[in-house]
Amino acid sequence: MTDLFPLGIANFLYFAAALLYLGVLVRRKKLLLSVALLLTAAGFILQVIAFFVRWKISYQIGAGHVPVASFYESLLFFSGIIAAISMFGEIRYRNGKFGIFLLPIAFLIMTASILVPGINNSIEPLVPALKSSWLFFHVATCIAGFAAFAATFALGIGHFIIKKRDGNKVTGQTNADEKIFSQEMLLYKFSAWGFAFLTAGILSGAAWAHTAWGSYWSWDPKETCSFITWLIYAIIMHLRFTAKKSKNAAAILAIIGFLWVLFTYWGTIFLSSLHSYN
Amino acid sequence: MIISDFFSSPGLAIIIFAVIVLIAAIGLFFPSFLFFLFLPAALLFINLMFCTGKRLRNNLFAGKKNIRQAGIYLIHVSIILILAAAAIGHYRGWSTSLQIKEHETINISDKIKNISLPVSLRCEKFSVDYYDNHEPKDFRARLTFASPDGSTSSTISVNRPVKFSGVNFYLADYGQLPGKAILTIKKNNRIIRQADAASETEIKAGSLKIDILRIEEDANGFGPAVKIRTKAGTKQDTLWIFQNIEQMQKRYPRMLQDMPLLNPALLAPYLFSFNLEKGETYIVLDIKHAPEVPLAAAGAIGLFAGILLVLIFRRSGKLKSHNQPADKEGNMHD
Repeated sequence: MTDLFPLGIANFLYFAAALLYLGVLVRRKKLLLSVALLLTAAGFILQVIAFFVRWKISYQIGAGHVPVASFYESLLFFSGIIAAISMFGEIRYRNGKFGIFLLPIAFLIMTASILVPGINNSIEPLVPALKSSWLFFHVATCIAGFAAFAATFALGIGHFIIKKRDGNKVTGQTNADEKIFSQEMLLYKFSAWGFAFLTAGILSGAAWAHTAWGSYWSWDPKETCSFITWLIYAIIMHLRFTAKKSKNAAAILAIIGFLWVLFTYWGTIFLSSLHSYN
Repeated sequence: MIISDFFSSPGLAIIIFAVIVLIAAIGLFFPSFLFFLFLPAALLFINLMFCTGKRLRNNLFAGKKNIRQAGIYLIHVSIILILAAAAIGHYRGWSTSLQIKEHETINISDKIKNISLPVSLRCEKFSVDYYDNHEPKDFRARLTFASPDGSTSSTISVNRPVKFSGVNFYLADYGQLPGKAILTIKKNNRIIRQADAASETEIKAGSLKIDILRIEEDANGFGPAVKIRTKAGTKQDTLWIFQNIEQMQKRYPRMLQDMPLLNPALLAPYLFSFNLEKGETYIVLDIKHAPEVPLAAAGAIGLFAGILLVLIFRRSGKLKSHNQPADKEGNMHD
């Protein structure tokens, strides 16, 4: 069995779940949410299986590395973590927005990794510089951070939807305030966790670069992009202590921040980088 | 007090972050622009000093002692350390690189000007492991360092640097210097001319004038070859002289009849042969003196530990307290 078989089914399940979640936007039915969550969980389990199958194949053919080393593998890992956060957010906070906004992102990223021409899905052996125990920790923490920022993106959009839908109703003003407050707290919480993971990713990358090249920071485009991402979320963290309109500002920055994360991911294709995978 | 409030304000921190974001974003496309980062970095340093001082003073007076606050201090102090480390690295650190051949011994100070490092270095051995697809799997070199204080031998490879005399050595790259490409011309089975085709482009041998057109390390998978143009009077011929012509003939017995331009005896009584010698292997070493590393490492560890403390010991009850609204301005109180 290759990893493509479970991955293809996972992709289909994510697609079905994403459609159901989008259906929730039109017809708010708990049943739709529950089925979508189940499909997501099934897709996620298959994706985990595909991850381990690919890992095993990698050792069988002599490449021997955790499947997070190529652009294709990192995209799949990214989509998987986003799906995991979607399920966690929905179950832990009983907030359907996680699935509604995150699952389509997970589905699109996985589909892009499979379908976009030029993304090489073969298992390649590692170049000597990547043969390090830092590899998995560095990639996993960065991607976990980026996935948490995807959640803040969902919450940022959710903030404006609640504001537009409920904020103008005079009778529902208090309820809207509470929802927005709760939404804002979640946004800060996920920003903080994403910030922690990205910090771990940047610091582990710096430690690795110091060992491999003797330079822990070289203003490589990917490093610079990650640093900008880190600062955007540092701004969100500090907004809590300042602004009168911090709610809107944080939501706007969360949306911009995730768009920047996507640029960080794809930007190195257009900019010469030490982090170019393919 | 007004100055202290200004420099310690989170609002100023946000503005500084925004300026750094702007400069870094421009620096993505115009890297020299990154130079201007030193301005907001200096301002951030001041902002962090004032902010930390103010928080410490307020909390001491208020008698506040909690782990979360300690985490926030740790984050800010760690960033101060990292900024200080960056400044030390910029002014006190240096880096350079040098090329050394296998079995060669060099004095580093002779090779690199402006750096006083009385260390001699010898590359004893260099080896490369390959994957099945012939891509390099790993490469390493055995180095011997000698200084007035003593000598030592170490194996260096990618991701495994070596430290000697307070300086780090990194194996950055390797390669092969071009070897000699010897074209031999015989007449009536007697060598009349031998020339290095890599350095001579026009060769005279008897009544022949030979132009070297191209040298291939591996021509179509048949090994080293040289493409030459011969002139004898008004007659011109273009030939490919392969190093492995005998093996090729054994494999394809009709080769010379079908492709006479590969025949080294086409211009009999002249006979050509070619031998591409293997060049010497060299390695590239990056040499770095980074006195800021311990400080930067302390800052990095402190930063991450601080963030963890803040996350783990966060104030409880916030998420569940949907009925606890923010104040009129929507602020949350720290």
